[in-house]
Amino acid sequence: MPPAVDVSRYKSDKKVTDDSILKMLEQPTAKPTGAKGKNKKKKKKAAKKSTEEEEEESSEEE
Amino acid sequence: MQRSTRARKSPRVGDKIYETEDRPAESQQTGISHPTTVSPSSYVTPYTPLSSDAEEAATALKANEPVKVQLGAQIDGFGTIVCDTILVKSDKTQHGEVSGREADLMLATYYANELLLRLMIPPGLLASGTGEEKKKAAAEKRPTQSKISQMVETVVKSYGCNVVEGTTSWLFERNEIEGKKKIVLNPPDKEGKAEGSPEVGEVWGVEIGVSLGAGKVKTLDQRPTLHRRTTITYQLKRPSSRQTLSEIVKKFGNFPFSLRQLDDERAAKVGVVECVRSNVLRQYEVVTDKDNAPVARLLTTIGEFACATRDKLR
Repeated sequence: MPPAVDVSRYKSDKKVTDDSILKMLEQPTAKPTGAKGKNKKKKKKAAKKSTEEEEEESSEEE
Repeated sequence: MQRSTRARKSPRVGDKIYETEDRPAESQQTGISHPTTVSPSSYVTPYTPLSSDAEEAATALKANEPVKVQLGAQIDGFGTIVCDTILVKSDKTQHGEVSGREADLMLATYYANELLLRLMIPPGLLASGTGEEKKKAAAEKRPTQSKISQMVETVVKSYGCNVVEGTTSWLFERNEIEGKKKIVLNPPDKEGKAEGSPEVGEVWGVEIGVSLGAGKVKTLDQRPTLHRRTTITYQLKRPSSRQTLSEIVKKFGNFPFSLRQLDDERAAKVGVVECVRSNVLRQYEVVTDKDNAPVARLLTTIGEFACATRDKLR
């Protein structure tokens, strides 16, 4: 992913003042992935652990 | 980008990078969907001078001028194009900071682009909450072209700049970068009505062009070097024309190309004449700001997907 533009390096005495536009600029352009990604990893780890435990139990019985 | 870099040299470097990158499976056709172009200062059209045109080939980039770099790639006819504007380094730049009218231009272009990208999102696509809340968001009225243009102009004028007239965002389709829909900013009087709105599942090339001048444009009397195939069929009379067209169709399909990308640049200059006259090829005239004022452009290829994230779109 390309780096975000560093707007702080552009020094201007002008700016956008329209409130409705400023509000729109705060909106995202894509859905966030961070929280969902972490949950998936936890579920995968839990599923893997329970599978390993089942395999150990079945090998002990044999 | 360094000063004195020739505007002709950088595009070749860009196209070369594409040729050496990892490629997808052999079963998929890949190629360039737009040649690497380097457009200095007031140039609006992507600029790609030829080595055989000595005077233009000697065009040197100047300190502090905005330079637009545009290029694109395609897989199986599905193309993406990007354009970014960078400022040529200057001795006056302190700690990488930029001030004055150049800063106004870059900020105007950046924020206008960010606003335009958000205005392109179909209502409710990114809505969260309950099913009812999402339905309500999806039912919201989408902005008209006139409203979009007005809002973008408000941002640009905040920085004492103007939108380049006729700046157009297009629906991308397979083997087509100017599809059935378009949105035109600051439309000229007689043309430039919007046709359609972005919908889920579509891919668009979203473009913003900003000028430090009034935003009016003029056509230069320079050789057009950017072309693309049209849908018109015509029995070309000259063997040189047929040979040139055959090479173009084989290498680029319907995507735009530069004459410098053909095997023999000098032969290409002759071969395209009949092709353009018979409308088999469309040539992109060299257009610049009417007042020769600096112009910045950004072009972003976006996908309107219901479940997409930034990562998945890459």
